[in-house]
Amino acid sequence: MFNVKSMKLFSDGFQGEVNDHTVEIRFSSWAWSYPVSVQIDSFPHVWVDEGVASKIISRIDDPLLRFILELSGQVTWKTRSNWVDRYLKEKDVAKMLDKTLLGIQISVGLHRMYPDYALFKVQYFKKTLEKYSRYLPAETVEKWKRALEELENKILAASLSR
Amino acid sequence: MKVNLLELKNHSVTFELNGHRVTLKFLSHAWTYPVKVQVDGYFGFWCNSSDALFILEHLDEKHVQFMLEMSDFVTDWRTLIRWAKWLKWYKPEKFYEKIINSVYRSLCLSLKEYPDYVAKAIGKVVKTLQKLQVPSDLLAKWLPKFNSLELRLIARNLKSFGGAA
Repeated sequence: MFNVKSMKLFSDGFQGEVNDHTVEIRFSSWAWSYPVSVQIDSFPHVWVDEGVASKIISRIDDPLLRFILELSGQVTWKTRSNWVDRYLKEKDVAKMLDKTLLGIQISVGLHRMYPDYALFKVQYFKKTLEKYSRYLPAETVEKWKRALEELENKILAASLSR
Repeated sequence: MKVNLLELKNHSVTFELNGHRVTLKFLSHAWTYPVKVQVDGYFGFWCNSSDALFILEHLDEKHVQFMLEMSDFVTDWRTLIRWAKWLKWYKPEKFYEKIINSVYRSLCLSLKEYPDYVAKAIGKVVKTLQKLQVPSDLLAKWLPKFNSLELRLIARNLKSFGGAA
C-alpha cells in the first residue's frame, strides 16, 4: 500500500515518512467512533476510523487536502474530522468547498461575543486561503474572499455597536 | 527501518518488513505492555514500544526466528512477555537456553491438565529444535529431557488406564 521510511514506534502508534512527508498515526483503544489519529507533517491531527486513515495517507500530496487540514487548525476536532471526511467522499470540489465555507462562517459566528478572537480566526482563514489560492478554482477563491471580507466587516460592525 | 504498509485498522497496523508480515496492535489503555507484535501468523508478544522495536530490528536473526517458532508451544501470554524482554537482556547463547527451559517448564505445567496437548507439543518441539540449528551442546542437554518428559507422559497414561481397569 505505502512505503514507510524511518519508522519509529510509540506505545500508542508509530511515525514514519511517506513520500517525504512525516506521518504520525496514534491509536486510542477506548475511542469507538474515531479510534485513529492521523497527523501529516505539522498539520493538526485528525481523528478518523480505519478506512479514512489509509485514504488520507494515499492523498498525502494533494494540495486540497493540505488546504483543508490547514484551515481546520482553527476548528474543533469533530469539525476537522467532518471536513476531512467530506473532502474524501464529495466528488464535487466546489460543493465540498462551499460546505467548508459554511462551516467557517458558523465557527466564526460561535465567537461573536469575543470579536477579537473571531477576527483572529477570520484573518487566519484569509491567510490560509491566500497561501493555497493557486491550487483552488478562481471563482471559489473570489467567493471565499468576499465571504471572509463580509464576515470581517460584520464582526467589526458588531464590535463597534457594543 | 523501512516497511511496506499493508493495512491500517482501528487498533492495528499490518506491514511487510524484510519479507515478513508483521501486525502491531496498540492498546492505549494497557499501561505496561501496550503493543502486541505478531509476526508471520505466530502467537504474538505483548511488550512495550522499545521491546517491539527491538524485535522488529532483529527479525532476521536466528535466535529471534527461534523465539517466534517456539512461541507456538507456549499458551500463556505472560510467558511470552518475558521472552520479549529476554531478547534484549541476554546474549543469543544464553537466550536459546532460557527459551528452551521456558518451553519445557510450560509443558511440565500443562502435563496434568492437558496430556494430549503436551504429547503433541513434545514431538513438535523436538522436531523444531533439530530443524532450527540450536547449538549442539544445548540439543545434547535438552533432547533427553524432552524425551524423558514424553516417557513420563506415557507412563502416566498407562497408569491411569491400569487404574481404570
